[in-house]
Amino acid sequence: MVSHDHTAVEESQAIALAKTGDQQACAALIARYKHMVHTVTFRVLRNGMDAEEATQDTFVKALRQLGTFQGGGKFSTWLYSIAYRTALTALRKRKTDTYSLDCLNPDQAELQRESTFPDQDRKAALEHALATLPPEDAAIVTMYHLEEMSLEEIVTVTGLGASNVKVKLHRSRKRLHEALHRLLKDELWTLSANT
Amino acid sequence: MDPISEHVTPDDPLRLLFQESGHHAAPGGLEARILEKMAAPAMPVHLPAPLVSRRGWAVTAALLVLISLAGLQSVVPAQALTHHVPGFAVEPYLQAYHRFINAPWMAAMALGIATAMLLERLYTLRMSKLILR
Repeated sequence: MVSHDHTAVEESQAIALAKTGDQQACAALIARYKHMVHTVTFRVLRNGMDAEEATQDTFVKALRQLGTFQGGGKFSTWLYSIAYRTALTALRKRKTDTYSLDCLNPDQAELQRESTFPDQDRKAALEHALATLPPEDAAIVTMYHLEEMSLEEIVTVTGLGASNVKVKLHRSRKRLHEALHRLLKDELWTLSANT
Repeated sequence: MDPISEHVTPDDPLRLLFQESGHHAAPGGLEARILEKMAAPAMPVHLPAPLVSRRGWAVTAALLVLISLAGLQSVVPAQALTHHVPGFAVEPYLQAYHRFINAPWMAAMALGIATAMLLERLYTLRMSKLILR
């Protein structure tokens, strides 16, 4: 608990310094949250280059608007909401720029061709299963399970209603279970016993 | 407790798989690229010139006001103008329109078109699934 509080103090200090334009503090904030932000942008955009561009834009926007962050809520939630909106804007822009059936559901065909994944490819199986979800839903289910964000935080990040988020989570979990069951067979269900 | 949280325990297999897979690693050198982007001066915004300038709008507005004022101060009374408009009886046309709309064959035709559109939609969906497969 002490280390957690210490981290919170370090973060608030870094935010305060970054507000004054301190480059080291900005770099520290980026280093701390870059993987989290990149995960969200990647979940929505499903493309490394687009995700990196959106991650960069997220941090540029966040650091430029840092003065508007009052510190009432969590910094991570505030940053996530910027990342989520930036990724969705990039996705809409990409859809209007190029329209391809593959972009709608890139891994659907591959998912249907694959029968099972070897043991070491559990991560790949999860990626394939996530690709069956709409981009927004994939990001929401990641926030819930990976970042362990509460429903209230997800509502804040996405701007959706609580009931809408619950429905999306419920539907996504069901689809992920089905896809993973198909890809990993019984291995997924023995995971909790092994860990 | 909400319905989702009830089902998601700390040892939920899906949650464990997410935790095991972890984050997508951000590309190396990201901090430097972001700071470089921030340091770069903002691109000057070039707004395209409007098709009609402010002066053009002002002249048009002034002309419209002048025309309206001239109309109000006209020597010809407004009632005098209606004598030139021919009479037009609407009622017979409306009755004919009602008979046309309320006819049973009209309802049957609408239903037929709706069914045909639904069938076409189902057929297209089925075909698109077959093509994607």
